[in-house]
Amino acid sequence: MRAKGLREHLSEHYAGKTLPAATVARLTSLVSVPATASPVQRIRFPARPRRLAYGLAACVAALALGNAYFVVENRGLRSRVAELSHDLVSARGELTAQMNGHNFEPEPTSGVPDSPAKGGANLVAMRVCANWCQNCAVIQPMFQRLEQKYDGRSIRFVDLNISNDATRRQCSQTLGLDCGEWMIQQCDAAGTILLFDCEGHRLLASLSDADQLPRLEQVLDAALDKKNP
Amino acid sequence: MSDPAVDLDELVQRGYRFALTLTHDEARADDLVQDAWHKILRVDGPWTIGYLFTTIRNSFIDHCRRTKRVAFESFGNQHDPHGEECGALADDDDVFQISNGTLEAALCRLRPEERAALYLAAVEDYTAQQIADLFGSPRGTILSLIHRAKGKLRENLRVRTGTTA
Repeated sequence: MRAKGLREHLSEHYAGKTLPAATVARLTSLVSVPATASPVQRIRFPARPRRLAYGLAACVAALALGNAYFVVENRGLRSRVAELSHDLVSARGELTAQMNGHNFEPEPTSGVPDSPAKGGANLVAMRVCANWCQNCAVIQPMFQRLEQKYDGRSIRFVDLNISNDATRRQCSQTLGLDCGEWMIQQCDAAGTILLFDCEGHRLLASLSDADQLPRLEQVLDAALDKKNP
Repeated sequence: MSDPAVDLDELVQRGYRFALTLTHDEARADDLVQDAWHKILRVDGPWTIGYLFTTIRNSFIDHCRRTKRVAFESFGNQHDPHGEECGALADDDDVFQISNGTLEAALCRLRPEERAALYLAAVEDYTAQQIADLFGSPRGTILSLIHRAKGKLRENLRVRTGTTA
């Protein structure tokens, strides 16, 4: 190894630090959007969604706009999340969401078809994760155990990586449009398993801790028994 | 709207590196540069490196104040006569044979302001006056800051590489 001066070391050190090309492309693409563009175009902001609420807002966006770039700013911007989501969903006239404290509360909507999740499954267990989420690593084996345990039953297991646009879109499509409405009901952070009832349009349970697993299984068993007595 | 002469890709990357010097954490630097980018978008430019650096730094300070994660110490208005006579990073006569990990660890022990000033001087080739304008501090303070940052970094590297002065 050649001995070098401090300046050279620092230059080399920082030269190797770069943002991913996709992030750079998204950021620079924002600059070319005219200021007079519609709000929907202007909010193509690809920040890192720290909180699940942001990821959920992104789901709504994906539902509403297909492949539009959308995720929200990163810190202390709950109201902005609500505003953006509201803009998005209102733009399509399909969903209306309001923010209440830490959660989104969906308003009754009209004209939205209540289609169950595709694939014939009435229940959907969704693991919401993100690349930067440490709790996700704890949740993952539990989710796999659940998947093995309920293999063949009327339940669909879905991974929603909120740090991955493609996965998010795919998940939204898999679940069906109106699932966005349930997803925005109650969620706090990445590293959560959510159990949705696609027929009742309800969030049955959420789990973010290993200790809550028996409770989730109870809810799951009860829901499956109810559907297939 | 952007100035077509500005290479936005390069602008983002340089902003990211500067954010990295402040946060010393890639994820937080990522957030910081995007946060700053959005702030500039709101006012529709200007897309210059100086403005981006200033916005990033202000966002970082705002964030620190909000979360109170990092205590910002005033580096005072100390004068370093040797630094005053030299350029921002002129006495770069020490040579080291170090790995990137060693440098990373040594940089970690510097304060955000010290890392940032050192980065601007060494990598971005900023003069002390330009850094002073960016930080809103007197030039002498910046020279002193860089001098002390270099001293600390040099000492850290010596300790880690086992070399003696």
